[in-house]
Amino acid sequence: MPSPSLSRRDLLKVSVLGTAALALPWQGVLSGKSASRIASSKLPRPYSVPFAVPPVLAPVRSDATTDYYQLTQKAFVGELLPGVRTPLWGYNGLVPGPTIRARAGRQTVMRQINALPATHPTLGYVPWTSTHLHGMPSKPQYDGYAGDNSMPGQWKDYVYPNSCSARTLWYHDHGVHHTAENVYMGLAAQYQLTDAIEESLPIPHGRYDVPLIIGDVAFAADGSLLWDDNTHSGSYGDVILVNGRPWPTMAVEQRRYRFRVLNASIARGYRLALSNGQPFHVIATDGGFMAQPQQVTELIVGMAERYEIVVDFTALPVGQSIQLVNRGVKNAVDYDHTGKVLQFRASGPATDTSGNSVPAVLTTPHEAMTLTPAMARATKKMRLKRDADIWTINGETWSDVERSDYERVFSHPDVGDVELWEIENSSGGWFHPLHVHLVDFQVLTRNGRPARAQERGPKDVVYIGEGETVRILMRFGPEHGRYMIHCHNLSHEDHDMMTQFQVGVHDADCDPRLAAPPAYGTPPAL
Amino acid sequence: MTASAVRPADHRTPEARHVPVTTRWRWVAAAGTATAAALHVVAASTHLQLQPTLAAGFLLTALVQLGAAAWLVLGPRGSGWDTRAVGLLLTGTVLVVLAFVAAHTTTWLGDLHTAGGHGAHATGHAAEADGAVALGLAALPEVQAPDLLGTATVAVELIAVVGLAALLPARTRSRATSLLLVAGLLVWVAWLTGLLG
Repeated sequence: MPSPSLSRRDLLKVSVLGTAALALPWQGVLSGKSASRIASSKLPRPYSVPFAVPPVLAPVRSDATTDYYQLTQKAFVGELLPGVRTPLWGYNGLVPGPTIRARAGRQTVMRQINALPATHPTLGYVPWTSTHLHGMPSKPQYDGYAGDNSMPGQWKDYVYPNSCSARTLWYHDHGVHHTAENVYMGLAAQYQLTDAIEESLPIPHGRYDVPLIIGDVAFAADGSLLWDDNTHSGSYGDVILVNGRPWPTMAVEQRRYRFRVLNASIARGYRLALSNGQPFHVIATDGGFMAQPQQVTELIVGMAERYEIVVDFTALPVGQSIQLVNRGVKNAVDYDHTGKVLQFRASGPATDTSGNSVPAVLTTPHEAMTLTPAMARATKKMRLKRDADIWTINGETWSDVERSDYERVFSHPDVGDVELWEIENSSGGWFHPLHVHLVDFQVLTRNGRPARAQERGPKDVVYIGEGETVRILMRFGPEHGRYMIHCHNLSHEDHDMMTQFQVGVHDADCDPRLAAPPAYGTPPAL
Repeated sequence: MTASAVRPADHRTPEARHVPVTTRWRWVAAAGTATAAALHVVAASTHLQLQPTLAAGFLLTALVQLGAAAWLVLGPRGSGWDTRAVGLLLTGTVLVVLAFVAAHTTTWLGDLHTAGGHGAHATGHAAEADGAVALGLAALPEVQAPDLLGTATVAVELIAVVGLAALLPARTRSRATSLLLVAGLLVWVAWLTGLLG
């Protein structure tokens, strides 16, 4: 046998296969400008689909103090892309679910019936659900606590006091470890709370007060949703949905409109702007109205954040269009059309000019905005960090809370106590929109500087950007008991970036898992 | 002047001339194959819970590669290579590489990747999916994105391919590398024509 050797020519021959084997599997990832696998001919051109808003749900019954609603979480086949059938999960078979309009001072009872399949058809998990009305100071047993799970076939009546000021809220699934998939499948909707102050303001109302529920999804070849949480980093779609419609176009009159912006994405943050650079006003944040509107040209919206903005189309010529675009945030996975969100086309002069202004003063400052650091009884530090493939808060996860039989808490203030929390994200690789249940808080500083103009209102989610440290200030109450704190990148939350705090005493009357457990069987009439 | 007149005199014995080169390529092939075996064991452990069939395939591959690496280290030395055995190993390694390419550019092997999750009790674990999953009415295979572990495994397998090819006799080696060239060209053509995604 001759001496083993390999000529340069041999090496070149082998390298043809070698480069193919190493490069081709990655080309889809590295060159990808789309996440969807569906034929591009089935995706609509951006701005070719008409705009729509979710229907408003009527109560099944009302009495002197309470409005009663019934919602069924169920699987159905819907149409997000024109002519394409997509299996979805929705409240009452709608994605997004129906909007609920409530009035401060009147209680809401929302019956949630879990009629989802016994297991997820492809992911295989049991789709237990736990409904969270995000932005409402609910009692712990009605707050969508992780561990207060309704299994398929169970129902639960959630009681909401509507004891807070007017604001844009949203209800969405919070089932422990499956929130991301359940919300991605469609279990999310707006809940709008009004009060006398909101009704008296000369801002746009009625048909000029429009929800914008923004999300992003990808589609598989067969039209079903494509799920990939990128090893728990988060799911990024290439199709932007507004109220369940891909990149729609909205006809607007030549006047001001109020938009209730909700980022319902799993992991995508948005930097929203108008394509012509026109400024607009932020009038409300998560916890309701700002004292004074803030004029901005860009709006950064992390997951679960809500901002009410007023856009003036008075000068937009009839037949002309401008777009609401997404200039992107750091570390988001962007595709060809994720920079596009929504188009506005002027249809004609205003047919109604009432509520067509933005007053210089909207209301008295929200109580959270009057707090000062000197009022804080305690200062707590919170470090948000990835540890292998688990997301942690101060090195701990929700599993640690479960292992403690739900006793472990991050903080334990009394009702009425004020605390200052310093939240640090030392990573350069991802941001965390941190949500504190129950309370509205003030964003005190961001990296030692004052909060952004858009944040000068009460918040319940704060965008903790890459390498940022943010200080927030809040008073605890009005309810007592245990409430969650978590990242609202839902893949982070599911894997397992969540802890809890306890306000005052924890007793049987406010046990989030046992005080009002879900039930099997046919529910009684509401 | 003849060529032999300028070539430096090689005073080594035939064994001395052969053994260092043989040893070098033997070690290249063995190291590549053994490292691939180790990486396949790691891959098996990460896929065990969700894709047991795939994990079993990785383990089987690892066992064969481990045996091959041992044979390359402990087997016949000098000129005693079994050409058929080396050719078989070379073919097997190339097939594993091609399977990787197919797995990450087509859905042909999609059933092995079918994702799953579980949630038997009220605070059970999160659903895990290995790559993209279509959330349809039934599980459908999807092209799986590659990961660094898989790419590293293929890289060391390609090193093993080079080492194994070098161990073949000159004429067989030339034929083998020509076949590898054809295989490589076919893969590129399949990609260019859209057969591979």
